[in-house]
Amino acid sequence: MTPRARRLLGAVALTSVVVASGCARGCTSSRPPIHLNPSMDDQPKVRAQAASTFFYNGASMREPVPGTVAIDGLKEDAAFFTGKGADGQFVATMPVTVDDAVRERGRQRYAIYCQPCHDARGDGKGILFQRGNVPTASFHQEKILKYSDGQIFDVITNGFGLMSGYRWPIPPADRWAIITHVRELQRERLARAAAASASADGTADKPASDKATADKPAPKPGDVK
Amino acid sequence: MNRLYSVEGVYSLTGAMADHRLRLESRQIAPFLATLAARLGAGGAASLAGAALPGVDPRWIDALAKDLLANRGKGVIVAGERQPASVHAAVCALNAFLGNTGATVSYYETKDAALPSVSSLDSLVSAMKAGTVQTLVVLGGNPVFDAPVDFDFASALSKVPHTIALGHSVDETSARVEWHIPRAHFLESWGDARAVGGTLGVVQPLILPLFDGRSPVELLGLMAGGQDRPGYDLVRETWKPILGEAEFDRKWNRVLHDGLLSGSELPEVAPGLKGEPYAELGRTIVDGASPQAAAGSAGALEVVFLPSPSLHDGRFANDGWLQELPDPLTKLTWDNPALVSPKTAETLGLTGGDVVRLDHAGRSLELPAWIVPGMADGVVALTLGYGRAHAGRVGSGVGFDTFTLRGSQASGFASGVTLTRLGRKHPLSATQEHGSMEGRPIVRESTLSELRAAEASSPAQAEGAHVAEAPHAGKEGRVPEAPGVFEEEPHHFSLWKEHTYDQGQQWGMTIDLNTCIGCNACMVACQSENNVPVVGKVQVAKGREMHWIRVDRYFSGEPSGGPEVVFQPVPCMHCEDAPCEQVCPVAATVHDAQGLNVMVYNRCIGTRYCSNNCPYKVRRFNFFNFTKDTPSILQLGMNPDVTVRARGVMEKCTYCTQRINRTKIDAKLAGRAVHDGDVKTACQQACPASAIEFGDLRDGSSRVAKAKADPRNYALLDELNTKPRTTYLAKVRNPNPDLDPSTRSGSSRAGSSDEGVA
Repeated sequence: MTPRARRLLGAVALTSVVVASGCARGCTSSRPPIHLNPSMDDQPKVRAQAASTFFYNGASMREPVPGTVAIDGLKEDAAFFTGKGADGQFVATMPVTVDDAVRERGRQRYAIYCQPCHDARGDGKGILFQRGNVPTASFHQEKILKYSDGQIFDVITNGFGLMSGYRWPIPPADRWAIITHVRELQRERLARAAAASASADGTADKPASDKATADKPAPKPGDVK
Repeated sequence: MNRLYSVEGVYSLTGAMADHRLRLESRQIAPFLATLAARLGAGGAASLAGAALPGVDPRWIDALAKDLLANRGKGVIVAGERQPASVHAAVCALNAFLGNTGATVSYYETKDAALPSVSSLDSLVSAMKAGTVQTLVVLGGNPVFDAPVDFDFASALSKVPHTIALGHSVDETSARVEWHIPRAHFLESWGDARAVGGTLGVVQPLILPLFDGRSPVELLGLMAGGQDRPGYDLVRETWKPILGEAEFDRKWNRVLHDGLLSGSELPEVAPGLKGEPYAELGRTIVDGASPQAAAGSAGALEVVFLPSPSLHDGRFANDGWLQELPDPLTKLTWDNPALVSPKTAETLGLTGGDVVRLDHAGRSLELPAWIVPGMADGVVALTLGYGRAHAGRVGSGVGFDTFTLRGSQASGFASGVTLTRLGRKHPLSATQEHGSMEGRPIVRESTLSELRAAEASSPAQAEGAHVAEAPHAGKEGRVPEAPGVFEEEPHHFSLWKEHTYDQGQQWGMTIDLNTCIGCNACMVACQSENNVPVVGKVQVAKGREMHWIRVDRYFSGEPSGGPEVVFQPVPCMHCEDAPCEQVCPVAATVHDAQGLNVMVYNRCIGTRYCSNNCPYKVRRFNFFNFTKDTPSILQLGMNPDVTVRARGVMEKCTYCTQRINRTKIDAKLAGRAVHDGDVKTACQQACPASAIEFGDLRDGSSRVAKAKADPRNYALLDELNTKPRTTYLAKVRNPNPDLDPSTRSGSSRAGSSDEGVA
């Protein structure tokens, strides 16, 4: 019997065992599937994010060489890329012109990257807080209201406390766009509070409860803590 | 349009582009230049007139001189690098005389550069032999292999007590030294450089080092400073005084980003020639004439040493892509035979592949011979860089070490070489063995005057009207107005219901044969992009090379005379009526909606019907599992976006479909349309002459659509009605009307070193 025929017979036997055991598909296995015809299934190439036995760190993808500057990688505008001015202080206002496109982009990016923790209104009562009790800052607290734009940029870039830095997933332009959205949330809340307090001057109880709900918009489970 | 004259002994790429080419031995270049200088009437050159060159039509020199004088300040004369210093000095003086200096030629001071010098190497070797050198450090380079053979560098090296070599691999030099230091690749190293014009630049690494190599900068830093410091620190330190301490980081990053320090270029200098350049030239001619006379005219040949177009001086010998890249003119792979002209071969009774022995100055070399039309008679051309003993897994023992014949006295060319036939044959693998188009209009050619006349007579030419082109005919030379059987025929009707292709992008390509210089860069770019395997010499001999784009080379005119050369890159034509698709039994090759002729590798069962039916012969079959044993480091070099094919699968040019898809995805993510120029195929990107255009044919403003509207546009083998998406723009030559075609191909002698007038 040639090795080829033996291999084929073995494969057939194995297949019948698998079929007999009723686990032909849908079962999890740590072993790779059987390939009767292995043609081009295993590629002698390295795909993105693949593991590597060649490099010490086990990753096949190489990081950029420290200190190099790629084409379009020049970051001369320090305010735009770091949120800090020439004096090393955080810039008070963002160094980008804000238009509808930027606002829309910011709303969208916020929903992708920020909302899971900070929730849609910026109260820090997102899904991670609800399910995992992860303490998350609210944008409406006094401390953060006082943050300059550059400081918020720095927090997104490098992280703060439990929050990790979002330097890689969010490019600088998107970080500034997100800040426009955060500012919008804050303005909205302040305006509503101001309106509520203005109307509270006139009448008594009812608007006060409105104010309470506005300040605490998070759903009940968030209040467990 | 410019007009290029070339005078050379061995066909170079420059000579292949020339409008007029004169075949002349390398040693005859100096006399030729003297005659030209006298004809131009340069001051002090009158004494050089007189000695008529054997076999050179005086009208040729007259016409050249007339053109040069009529275009003062707009032409340029360039001397070949193998020519002696006196020729270069005389060319410099002539350029100044013609007012070209400062206009078309610029000279710069060579700053911070150690110029290569044979005499300094000679004195080093003498010191080594005398035992006065205690420690020798070789930073790159491979002198044991490529130093002039009469220096005998290897034995001198053995007399030095301590020897250290920095090299990428254990080469001939490293194998003989005490210490070998692994060298980091230049793409892994920090460094800095000064360009020819004086511009300073920082060289930044592209990738983190794969192995723990050291760069020359780091090794020198260790030797000079005694500290093992990273190259980054050393280069930054060097640049501190250049950029100044103030705002150093900002300026440094700007230099890194731009690649150069703007404003650092050197001012042009006016060359001051010592002595009398023309008198020097006269002495060179006299010196050159005497040993030639001594050697005797009968049987003595001139040998010319050429750097390999692929391997250069042998440093790239361990690269399979380059070993398998055919020589632009001979189309030979994996070998470096001695090249001779057809007439010389006839005189010596040689046929291609005959093993011969060359004797020169007490040294001899055995290697096969190969016949190349267009070479000067009496010249043997040897390609350097082959025959390495310690090149590595791929390059060791490939070809013949021609450095063993090259002495220090004549490193470019040498006279007095005798050639003996040994009566043996050596197999050689060429990717194209036939050089004639056999009268078919495969490469179409026109002249500038013909094209102008055609444009004037019919200003609004429709695409596909090839009024101006004459078939670039085979042996009979050019036949401008003979329609012949291959003249444009009316389109045949199609048996199939034709697809309209009026939706989305419709990709197409043009290749401008007028700008293509035949350098083969597209072939390597394609190989790199598309994971094309290397098959080896034996498989190439069977016609199984895998290049998705090849560059065909055709000779026209009398082979033993001065034939012209044309190059034609041929990728898959992506025919709209593709003959390959109609014969595939399993629909492994089909058309997609964008007009691409796509290969579905997993369907292919390897019948090879498609390859058989392809009129352009661009389909490649994996006869073996060429990629089975790919080492892990080479796996890193594979393009992850392209399937690595297995045995039994047909493959061919895909128009870089992975790049098209990547661009479309990127455009979609960015919420915009795909613009013209967003998709560049690998061959297009690598082409140094921008001969290849690629883009959407439905976009009338795209560069490819504009190129297709050019009256020079034609389809290869149009009579087959395959409707190829890849088309060609005919070649245009600009011959001097004073030199009629019979003169153009009629000069009987040939030579080396280029001269051109732009």
